[in-house]
Amino acid sequence: MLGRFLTYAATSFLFATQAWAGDIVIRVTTPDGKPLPDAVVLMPAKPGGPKPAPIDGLKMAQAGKQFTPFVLIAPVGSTVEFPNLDKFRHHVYSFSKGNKFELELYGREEKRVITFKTTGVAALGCNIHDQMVAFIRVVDTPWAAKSGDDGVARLTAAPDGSQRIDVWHPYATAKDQTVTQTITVSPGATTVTVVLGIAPPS
Amino acid sequence: MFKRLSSELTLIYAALFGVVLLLIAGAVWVAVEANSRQAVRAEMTSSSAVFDRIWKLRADQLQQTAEVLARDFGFREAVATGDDETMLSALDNIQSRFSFDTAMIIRPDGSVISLDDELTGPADPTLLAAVTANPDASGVLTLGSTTYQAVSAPVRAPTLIGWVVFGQRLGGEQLGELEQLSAIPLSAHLYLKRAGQQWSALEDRPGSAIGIAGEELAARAIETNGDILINMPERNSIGGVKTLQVFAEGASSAGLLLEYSLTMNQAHYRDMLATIAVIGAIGLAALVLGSWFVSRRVTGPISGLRAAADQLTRGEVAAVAVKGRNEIAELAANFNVMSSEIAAREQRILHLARHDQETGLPNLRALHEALAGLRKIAPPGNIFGAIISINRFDQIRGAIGHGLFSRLIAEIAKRSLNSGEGLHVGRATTGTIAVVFTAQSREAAEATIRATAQAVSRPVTLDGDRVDVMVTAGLACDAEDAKAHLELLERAEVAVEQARAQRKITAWFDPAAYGDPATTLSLMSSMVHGLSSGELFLAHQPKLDLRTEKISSAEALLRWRHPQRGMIRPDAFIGMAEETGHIRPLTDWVIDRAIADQRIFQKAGHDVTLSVNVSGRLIANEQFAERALRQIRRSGARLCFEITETAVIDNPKLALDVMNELKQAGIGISIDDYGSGLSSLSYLRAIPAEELKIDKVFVENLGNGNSDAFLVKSTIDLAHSLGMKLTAEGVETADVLAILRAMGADMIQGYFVAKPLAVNDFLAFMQSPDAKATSAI
Ligand SMILES: [Cu+2]
Repeated sequence: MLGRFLTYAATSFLFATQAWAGDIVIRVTTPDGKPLPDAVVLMPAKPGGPKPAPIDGLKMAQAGKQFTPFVLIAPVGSTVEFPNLDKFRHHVYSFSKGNKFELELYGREEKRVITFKTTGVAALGCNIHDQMVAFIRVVDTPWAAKSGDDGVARLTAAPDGSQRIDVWHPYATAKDQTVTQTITVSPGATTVTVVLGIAPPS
Repeated sequence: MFKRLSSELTLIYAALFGVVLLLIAGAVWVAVEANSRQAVRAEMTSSSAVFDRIWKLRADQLQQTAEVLARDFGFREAVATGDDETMLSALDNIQSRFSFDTAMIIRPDGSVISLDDELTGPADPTLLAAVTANPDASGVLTLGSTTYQAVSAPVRAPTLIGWVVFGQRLGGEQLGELEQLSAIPLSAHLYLKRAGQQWSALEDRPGSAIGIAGEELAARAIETNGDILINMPERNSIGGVKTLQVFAEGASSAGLLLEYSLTMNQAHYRDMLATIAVIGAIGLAALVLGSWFVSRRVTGPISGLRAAADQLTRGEVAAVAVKGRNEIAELAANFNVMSSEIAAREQRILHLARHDQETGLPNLRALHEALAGLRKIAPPGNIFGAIISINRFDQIRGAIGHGLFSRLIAEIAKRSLNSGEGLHVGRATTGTIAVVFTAQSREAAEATIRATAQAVSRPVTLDGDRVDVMVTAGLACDAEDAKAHLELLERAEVAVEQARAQRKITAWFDPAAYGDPATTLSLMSSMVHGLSSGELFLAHQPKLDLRTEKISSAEALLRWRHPQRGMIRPDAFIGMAEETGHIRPLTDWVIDRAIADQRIFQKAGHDVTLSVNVSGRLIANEQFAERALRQIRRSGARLCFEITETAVIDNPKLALDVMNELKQAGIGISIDDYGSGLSSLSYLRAIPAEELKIDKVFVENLGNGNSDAFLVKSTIDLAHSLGMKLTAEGVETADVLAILRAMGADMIQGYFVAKPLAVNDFLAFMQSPDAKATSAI
């Protein structure tokens, strides 16, 4: 899925800008140097800049009393399916501003679809299972990527020059759980390491 | 210390009992004290456990409620969406349902939503920090001026979107409830210490303030076996301290002080002590009464003994009743024995005091007592005393020994006693017995004593030996003028001497003859004066030598012509001079005078040997003898010393030596008044006398045709056989002279020849025809 998203990102970039640029490789680590997965790296949208195209068919499944994936990047206007793979019911909700929804008790194999129309973070929970937490990052920029298990996220075809990038993680201790960094993008690959303090809820 | 033994015993027992009681009470108190603390500690531990449960129950209730609310979907939605109205209504609902005192929602941005307007707004930083650090905080929380037991619960949707905080007020009311839940009477106090401040009590109940500063209490806290205890002696209480969980840890501290009053605890034990005290008081009273009775039983007989001993001390007859068979009864019996023995001994002592030991006769003391008795029943004029003196008792005693003499005296006393009615007889001196008695008149008294003297003047047979007893009795009447300052019996004794002087068997005391001792000394001093003034002089009685029919010697007799009292008889002052020691100068004077008179006679042509009477007391006096010899040798006088046969010779051996010396010096020795005594033949032979003068009593009787003639004749023969000349005194008639001449007497002296003559008269007599006429007879 990640691969697909990245393909999409690159494609959309292709259509949005004329100038070709390089890739940005962002290595996200915790302060003790461990790779941090599930961090969202994005280059904030600029007025008049290219917009990402909504995607249908994004999935936030519930399996084993957990949401999968933990963090999902969704371009604004995308629809996300919530398939229930468990044998019991879930009651998925989000009280996040602009992306408030509630999927009342639904059982196995039932699939509900929600369209996320507002840029920001939608924190997902299950009213039945407290431990079920997931986040959907609704973005309005074509350059957004999530770090993998190795903590590396790639932004391809990023415009040259000085660029701001935001690194967000739901449990980051920084303000708005976001660390912002300005980098100079040059043709070819630019590698950046971003350190994020993490405080998972007890 | 105590006058009564019973009091002392009672006090001692009571004191011992009291001490034991005090020890018991002390032991109880100590046990109570320890027990009390132990019990209180145990109670407090359990109360503390109860409190823990209560605290936890309340916390759990708060917590559960908070969690329930925090998980409520609708509530979470309201919080997440910022639906304040819904949130407040939810809080209100919960608060009223569970009677929570406070409830609020804190948002992560630090804003507070609460029904309490004071809390609404920005959160207390401490509060925010507390919930941030620990979303499930629980404990003591002070908000403003109110203290709560508070809990928090996080609100997640699903991320943390706030905290629900519920609080129950902690105050007097709640502490009171806690106190009531305790099994023991506790008072609970909440102490708080906020950051940078000191411990202080949460005092919102009137009258329950401890009054000891929190810091002071904190300083006193001691940890023992996990319990924290505080001693509050000023309140007589101890406190158990429980550390309370605080809501904002690190920022503040809280403690619960459970105070237990030992006073209340000890009150139970006080009852016990009071009971002990009451029992003790009753016991003490019983003991005092009991020991009093017991000691009375013991000391009663002792008091009796003491009273009896006092009686005994006063000399009364004392006896104690003997009751029972215990030690005191034995003591009483012994006391009685002792008492009677003392009485018997006293009787013996009294008997000894009143009786002569040698003879067992009553002594002078007893006689004086008898006399005192008589004086109570009879007038002085009817009371008489007599001394009966054994003649020549010295010789008799020397002859028969002391033992027999005592028996002799006893026999004489017995005869005296039996000689008349109502006589009190006792021994006066070694050789005298005394009789006191009453009589109707002097004549009757004299008759009585005459009878007595007669009764005793019979031979006494002692161990087969006959002893001839002759007595002389002196009589005195109690009414007599005691000018002589002599007691009755003393006067009687003087009377004996007077009787002897008068050669009577009995005589009354003659105060005139005795003289007044008060004037004795003045008499003596005037006598000494008279020696030089010529008041005293010598009268010479011529002695006719029947062989030569001449007056060749005379007896120089002392005369005293007192200017006021006239002629004083020699008897009146010579005896006195002997007694007072004046006899020595008197005799010296007589010798000198005799020498002088003899020279006068010599100058007139009359060669006369003069005889001088020398007292038996003086003859053994060497100084006297030396002086006399010196005077005589110097003058060449011819003197003769007349010594009375019965004279008391102080030192017979020395006297004989002196007499021998005198004889060698040419001084003749003459035995005067021979026949009045009982001189032994050996005595007569020992004396180097040249003249024996027969007592005039025998001579006077010659003229009466009496049978004394044989005595006189044998005496004359005796004198001649001893180589002495015999002189007869008291010759008053020619018949007597004739008899004596016929009997062979050598010299005569008496009125028939001449009376004693002063010097001039003597010279005249020697010139007169009388002297020649006498010789013519
Ligand atoms: Cu669920």
